[in-house]
This record gives sequence, structure tokens and C-alpha cells, in this order.
Amino acid sequence: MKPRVGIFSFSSCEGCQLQILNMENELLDIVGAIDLVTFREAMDPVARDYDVAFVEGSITRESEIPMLEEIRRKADVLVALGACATIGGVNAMKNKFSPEENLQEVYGDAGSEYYDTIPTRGIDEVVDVDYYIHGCPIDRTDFAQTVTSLLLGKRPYTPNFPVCVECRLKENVCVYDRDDDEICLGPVIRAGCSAVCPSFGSACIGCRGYVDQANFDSLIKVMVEHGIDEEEAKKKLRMFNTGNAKAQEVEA
Amino acid sequence: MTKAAEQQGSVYVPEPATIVDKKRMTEEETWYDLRLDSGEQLDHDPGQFVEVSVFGVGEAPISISSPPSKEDGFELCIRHVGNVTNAIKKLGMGDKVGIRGPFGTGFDPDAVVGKDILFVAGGLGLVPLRSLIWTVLERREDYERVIIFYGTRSPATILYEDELKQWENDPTVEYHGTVDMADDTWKGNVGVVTTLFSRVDLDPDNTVAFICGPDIMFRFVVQETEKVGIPDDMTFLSMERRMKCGIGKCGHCQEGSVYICREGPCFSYEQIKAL
Amino acid sequence: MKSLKIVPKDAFDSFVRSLAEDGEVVAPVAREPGQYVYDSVSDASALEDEDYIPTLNPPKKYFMPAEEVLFKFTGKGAPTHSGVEVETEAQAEAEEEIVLLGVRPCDVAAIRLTDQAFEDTYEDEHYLNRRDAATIIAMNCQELCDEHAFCAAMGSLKVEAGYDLLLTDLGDAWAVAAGTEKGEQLLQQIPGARDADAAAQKKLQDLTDQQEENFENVKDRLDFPAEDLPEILGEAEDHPAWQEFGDECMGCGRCNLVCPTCFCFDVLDEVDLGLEEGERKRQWDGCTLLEFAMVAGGENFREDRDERLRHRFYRKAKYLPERYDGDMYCTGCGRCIRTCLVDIDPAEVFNTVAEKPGGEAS
Repeated sequence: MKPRVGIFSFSSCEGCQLQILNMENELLDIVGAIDLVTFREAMDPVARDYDVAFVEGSITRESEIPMLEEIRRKADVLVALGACATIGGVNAMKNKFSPEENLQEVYGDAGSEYYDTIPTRGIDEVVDVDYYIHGCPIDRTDFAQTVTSLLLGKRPYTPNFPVCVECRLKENVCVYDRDDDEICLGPVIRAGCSAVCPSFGSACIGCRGYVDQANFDSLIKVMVEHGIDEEEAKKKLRMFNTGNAKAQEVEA
Repeated sequence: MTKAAEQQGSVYVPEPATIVDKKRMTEEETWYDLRLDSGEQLDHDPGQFVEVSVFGVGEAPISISSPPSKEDGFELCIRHVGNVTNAIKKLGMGDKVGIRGPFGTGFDPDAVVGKDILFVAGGLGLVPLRSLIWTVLERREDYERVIIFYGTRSPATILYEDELKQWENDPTVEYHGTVDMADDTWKGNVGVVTTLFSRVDLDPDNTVAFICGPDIMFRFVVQETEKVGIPDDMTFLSMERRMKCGIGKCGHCQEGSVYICREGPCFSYEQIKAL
Repeated sequence: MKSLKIVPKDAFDSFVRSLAEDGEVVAPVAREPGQYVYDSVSDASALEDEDYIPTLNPPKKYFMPAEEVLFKFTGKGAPTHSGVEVETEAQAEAEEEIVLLGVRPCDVAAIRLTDQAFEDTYEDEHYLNRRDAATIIAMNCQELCDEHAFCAAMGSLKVEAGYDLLLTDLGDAWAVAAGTEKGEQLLQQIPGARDADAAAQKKLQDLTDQQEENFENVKDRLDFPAEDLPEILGEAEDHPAWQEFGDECMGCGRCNLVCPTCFCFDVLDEVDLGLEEGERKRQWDGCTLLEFAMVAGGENFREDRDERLRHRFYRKAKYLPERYDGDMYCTGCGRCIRTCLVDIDPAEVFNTVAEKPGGEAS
């Protein structure tokens, strides 16, 4: 029996769903292996029940909470899909301000009449999450790996080592040794992306969330040595991770 | 090296084995009887382990629980705690797993002939000791006293219940069991395994102790064996570490200058102290 | 008696060109200024690069790639499901010949150390087959290549074995010494190679004396002879400095991954979406990473950064030396220091823990 799978979306750009649709070479294998019953980006919502739910997006409105709880009740396995769902993502940057300020900034004086907003949370702060597919957007092979793992009945592989490891495996020149002025969060951010940003001349900006036991003090010192002040360093660490449960450690 | 590995020129290739029997032992553990498809015997020592593969999921190190004398195949008792061991749980009779091994250094029954043998097992620690206990009982006349202490968290987590009864009823074996927490059905001793030391008189000059269980249990049990006066080189333990490759390459199980998967998992307490 | 020949540089260059036409030749080349990697070359010009510092990753990548398939497997239907027969196919076949050119003595020493580990009892064919297919043309160092390097303190400035050929720069020619039978044969094939005359011998001796002088202060990077390390570390397990180093350390694993003598690996299974084909692969791992010593039940035998960092140094300078006849598993190449963002320096660490807390030497 093929597992019935639903893909759901909360506050996000829906780019992670798009990543799945972009898996041209694997998409037929995926739909052959699973029974896709809900996938807003690709089909009309049809299903009322499912075994596995992939949930993208963060929770930023009260009305999203019961919807997410409903999904959790129905699904045997719930997988958070992408940075918004796993750690709140960039959406959580607004948490530095009050909901009133957020509404005023975005919608002007009339905003509060039509909209509500609450501090952004990753979905695991609302319901239990079984597995995580990190990243903004998600990595397609990571999605495929998660699907095969679920089919095999094993826990999907989620690295708990930093991006630095993948940079060394690829023998990249370290961002901090390049002659641009990029600041890299690689030493404290979870790998699994094949160090894609540093590999293409950019730097890690933290979309996959912090590794366990991240040493923020040391990295902030390194960032300061490379020319930015401490406040700026913390801002970089917060960009994707304001909503991350471990974000307080950055401030400490 | 396994036959498959020899044929394929890689120490990392498992050889196929078939599950011929299985039995649920507790909530967490299942007993398996396996045969190598090659028809060969494992030819292991008590206390050695094998790496068990579920292809697509991975490999896990598992102690061999049957004595070397078992004629066809070998037995494992597997606690379902990780990816591989949970995948094994879903397999049934006739299904295949991959096997590499036997690996490591086991216990040597020849080296302790003529001694009083004390076994101290905690929880899953009975599994590697069982191989040695049966080996000792098969040649019972080679040894003096045989004393078995077995402690588990609760009556529900007791392994090999039928065999424990056999040992309890065997006049040549002094068997003592205990549970940390009793329930209504339990009539025996309650308390950690070290409480059993007060039940027997041990001869410090002629006793050899084999201990297997969680790390924390070791520490308390060796306090007792030291109190009795059993020398460190007559106290043997089996250690748990992350044994990934089984052949002293991958580095995960290193402890001091030894690889637990190679020089261990069985050591004398004297050796462990030096690590 | 090992042969020694003198080869004019242009003749040697032609020799390398012919090797590169027949197969792969790799040497340290600058990817960016000051950032070297071993990569394919077509001539011997890489040997003349005066700005050389040790490559980002060591040459071990040719014997133990960052990621490699151990074996493939196929099984109709999910391999974990009932009733599936699985076929395995090992991936340790003989490898293509490769020439490593310009390998510095520190890395030659490291290759011998990893050879030793992979030969130990159970031969690792994956590594050893590649190793057998490799020719090592090493090159002596006349001056310290990099401020971080402390090779002379670790005894890896001069190597007696581990290379097929060893080059010494005589200015307009190379002195080429054979280290193996393979090297002897290769040496016979170099056109223009002549026996070392008295003048050449004298020049070699002068260079050796000069080298000794040039590296004298590098030896001082360690406050004691390297062979004392196992004993020193034996006394230093509870040294408070470990905690201080551990507080700085990010546990990022960079030092492990760039280390020429680190050979630990993790093993992973991957399966295609149709669940019919898969492979078991290994990937470089590092003992400073959080989950390195964690077992399936979740227990972590080295949970804290300082314990893991200490384990790394003990493995290099105590555990493996005790296992392998006193051989230090640190060559002093300095890669870990250069890659470390918080400047943890093994020589400094060793010197610190050799001192009793409070400053007195132990």
C-alpha cells in the first residue's frame, strides 16, 4: 500500500512546494511511490485523510493554529518542509517588533481592521513534528531522501554537523579566507545543503538553522575580527533564526 | 572476513543470512535465529559481535547470544532502539539480513578453567554473557562454582525467562535474579544487581567475574568485586561504544589506544583501568 | 643501495609531460593566491611555485575520497520489506594509475601513517587499491613553507620512506632519489639522468646542512621532544586548559577534515526512489563533531566539546602512537591551525598542557 501523502502550506512563499515540482527527473518516481492526495501548488485540494503530511510555512496568524492541529491529528507522520516551518525562517524577523507595529508597517492605519498577526513560530512550537527537511528553499535530494526513508521505515538522515564540514569535503576556499568581505555562518549552521552558497561564491546565511551545541560566542568573535560589530553579527545570526527556539543563546 | 567479502574483495560487504526463527522477548527486544546462506558457521567466541545489515537502512553491531557450540546458525537478541534495529523488527522468518563478522575479542573460557565463575548481567547485558554461560555449563566439570546474578529494571524486561528457570533449577548453578522495580507478579529480590552480592560468599582467591550491562552498572559492580577482593585481572567486562565498521578503521569506538570493536568489546578490568 | 641521479630541470619537465600524456599527474597548484589544492597538471612547473603552502585538503583525497561507494546493492522491492533477495556488488576494484608530484615530506609521512592504519589486520581494499595505483614523487623542503607549519618539531621534515622518488632542488637540476623498486624503475626511464658526481654530492650535503639551520627554530615550536608526548598527555587528562580550549572550539570538524592523518569515516545507505537500487557509502567524519561517539540509543560517550577536542589531540599524540610503535599521528603540516577560525594550535596546546597548571613544567 502506497502511503497517502499531503503537502500543505502556511505563511511562506511556497517556494519549497515549487522545489518539489521542479524535481523533473524524479517526479514520476515520487508519484509512483506515493499517493499524492493534496498538493496545492499542483492540484486541487481533494483529500480528507492522509498518512504523511509535509507542511511548509510558518505560523503567523491565530487562524492557522487550528488548521495545523487538524493536519497533525490526521497524519501519522508530520514533516516540516523548509525554513519557515522548521525554524520560523525570515518571517520571524518581524518578531523583533510588536504585532501592532507589524500591521502598521505593512498595511497602514487600516490594517488592524482586516488582518490579525501573532509572533511567527516554526510549526514545532505548535504541534509535534516527526521529521525536518531544512533549508530555504529545501534541497531536492533531501526531499527525495526523506521520501525513500519514510518508505523504508527509517528515520530520514538529518546532519547535525555544520556547513563547514561540507565545504571541507568539497575543498572550498573558506569564505573567511576569500578576499571579499563576506561573513559566513557556516560554523554554526546545520549542513545538508552540500554547502551550496559558499560553493558558489556566496556565504552561509543560516537557512537550515543552528546545529546542536553551536558556539555562538566564538563565531561572533570571528565575525567581529572580520570587520563587523557585535550587533551586526547577531543580526546575521538572527536573519533566519529569530523564531528559532535556540535564538536566545545568541543574545546571551 | 565473511565469505561474501572475500569473494568481492571488500571487508565492508556483508554476506546474506536468513532469519529462520524469531520470538518477541519483551516490549523492546526480539530473539532471532539466523543461518548464513553460505551454509558456513560463524565460528565465534563468546562475547564477540556481528554487524547486522538491513540494506538501505544501515548496519548495527549486535552481540552474538548463542554459544559457539550451536550447530546450525547463531542467535541474536536485538533491542529495537535505532534505525537498523527497528527495521529488523519488521522482518519475519525467511527474510534476509546482511552479516559481517564475527568481530572483536570475546571472553576466553579456557583461561578460567578450575575457577569459581561469577556472571553479573544487567538488562541486555545478559545477551553476550549468555553465550559464555552456556559454554561454561556445557563443560561444567571444568569449573568449580557457577554463580549467576541477573538484574533488570522490571519483571517485564526479563530476557530468556525459560533459561533462567533452567539455571534456577540446576543444582550446579547458583542463580540469583533481581528487579529494580517489582510488580504484583514478582516474588523475588528487589533492588539493583549489586544487592545480590550479600547473598553469596565468594572466594576472592579463586573467583573470576564476568560483567555485562550498562556503563553505570559496571561502576557499581566493580566496587563490589573489589570489595570481595577479586583481582582486576580476574574481572572481565564487555563495553558498549559506537562500533560502526567493526574492524578498527572508522574510529568511532576508539577509547584510549584501543578500538573497542577490535581489542574489545571484552576486556579485563585491569585493561579498562589503563585506557 | 637506493639510486640517486641528477636530472636537469628541463629534462625532468619533459619526463613529467610524458607521464601526463600517459595518465593522470597531480600536484599542488594555486586555486587562488595562497590557496593550494592538488589538481591535474601537464608539466613540472608546480614544483617551482615559491609561494607554496600545504594544500587545503591533503593528498589522502586520492586514496580515500571525501565520499565513496563501498558497495552497491539491488533488490526487487524495498530491501527492508519481507521476501526481498539482495545482491551486493563491491566497488573496490583496481584503480587507474595516478602520479602525485611534489608531495612534501609532511604529507609523505602522513601517507605512510594512513597506509599503516588501513593495512592493520583487516586490509581496506578501497584505500589500498588506490594506494597501489599511485606513484609518489616527493620533494624536499629547503625552507619553512608556512608560518603555521611545525614539521621539524614533529619529525616529519625528513622522510626515509613512503615515496617512490624524492626530489631535491639543486637550482638547475633535481637530485632524484629512488625510495622503492617502482621508483628505481621510474628513475631508469628519466632521459638525461646522470649519476651524482662529487660536486653534486657536496651540494646535496650543503643543502642538508642549510636545511638543518633553516628549520632550527621550527623545532622549538614544541618545548620538548615529540616522542615525550604520550607520556606528557598521560599526565594531562585533567588539565584545566582543556576546558579553556573547549570553550573556544566550535566543534565544527574543520581540523579533522583537513588533517592528513585523520581517516575516520561515517557510513550511510542510500536508496533510489524506486527502492530497488542502493549503495552503502562512506564519508569523512571527524571526532570533534557532536555525534561522533553517539550510539543508537542516544548515549554520547563524548558529549562536550572539550572532551572531543582533547580526544583529537590524544588520538594524534598518544592513542595512535601507542598503537603503532610510537609513530606520531601529527606531522606538523599546520593545516588544522590555518583552517581553525579560533586559532587552536596543536603545538601551543601540547606546550600548555605539558605545563602544570600554574606554570611549572611537569
